[in-house]
Amino acid sequence: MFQQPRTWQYGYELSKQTDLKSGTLYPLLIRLSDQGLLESRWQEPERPGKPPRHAYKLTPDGLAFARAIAPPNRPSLVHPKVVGVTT
Amino acid sequence: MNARISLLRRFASALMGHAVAMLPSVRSAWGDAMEHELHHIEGDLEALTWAAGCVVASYIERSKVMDLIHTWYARVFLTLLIASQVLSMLFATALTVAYRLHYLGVAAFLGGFTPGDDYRRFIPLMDATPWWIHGLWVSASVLFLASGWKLLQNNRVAFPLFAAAWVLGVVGNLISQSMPIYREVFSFPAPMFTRDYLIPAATALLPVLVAAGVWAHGRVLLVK
Repeated sequence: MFQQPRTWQYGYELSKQTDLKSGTLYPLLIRLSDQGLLESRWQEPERPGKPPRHAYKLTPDGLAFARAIAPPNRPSLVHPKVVGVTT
Repeated sequence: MNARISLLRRFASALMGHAVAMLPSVRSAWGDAMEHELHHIEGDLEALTWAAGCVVASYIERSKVMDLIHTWYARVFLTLLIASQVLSMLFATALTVAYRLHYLGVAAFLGGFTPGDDYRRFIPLMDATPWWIHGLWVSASVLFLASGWKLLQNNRVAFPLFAAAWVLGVVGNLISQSMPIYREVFSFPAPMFTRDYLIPAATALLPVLVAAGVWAHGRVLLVK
């Protein structure tokens, strides 16, 4: 959600992306929603005959929170001096 | 094959129904979200896993509303059960120490809690049990005590400590029970349901239940 802040995502997708089981994922989503860090809405399914799906994305506060706790970008494994030598 | 798959799907639906029913009413929209998502999962086994996870999620949400596991008396109750594990774990060592140091009054008292009510029937087993097995049991007891202490402090480390203690204790018990003398000492002329089945089953089940309680306590701490 942090990497695609404008995209609404479903619980099952999030479970796949994060490798979290539903038993861990939903309590976290509920907690984020209670704190105003996550918004949700019902979306009509792509395929007929299926029920609507609950979709989620981070709120602006949620995005700010995610930025605050995200680990800093890993430094490049290629040292700048080495790059300088080869270019 | 199809029958088996549809059975899995039916079981997943039943589990999901239970999860939705268990959720507090203020979370009913989340119950609908979980249930609707189930219909979008293609694989039946995956749907079953999803539904089982939703049951766990519903229990977590229900426990938050009830908040039983977080009360101080729940922690004290679990700690007392952990203390019972310490007593159970130290029993054989205490009996052996009493017997070897000739505190025969203590040995006779402890023997009253054993099958047969007499410590003397265990003398061959006590003589044959090496000290390092007692070391395992004592180490397990120390870890159990640490687990209880951490639980009282509301610390999630309680569960790994409990698990480590339980593993050490089980290893000690399995090694002890694999000794031929153990089977001789614990063989009785007539079978008795309470002694042969009920007490061993309760003894084996209690730490599992305590572990579940300690685990649930730590898990609620994690998601709160």
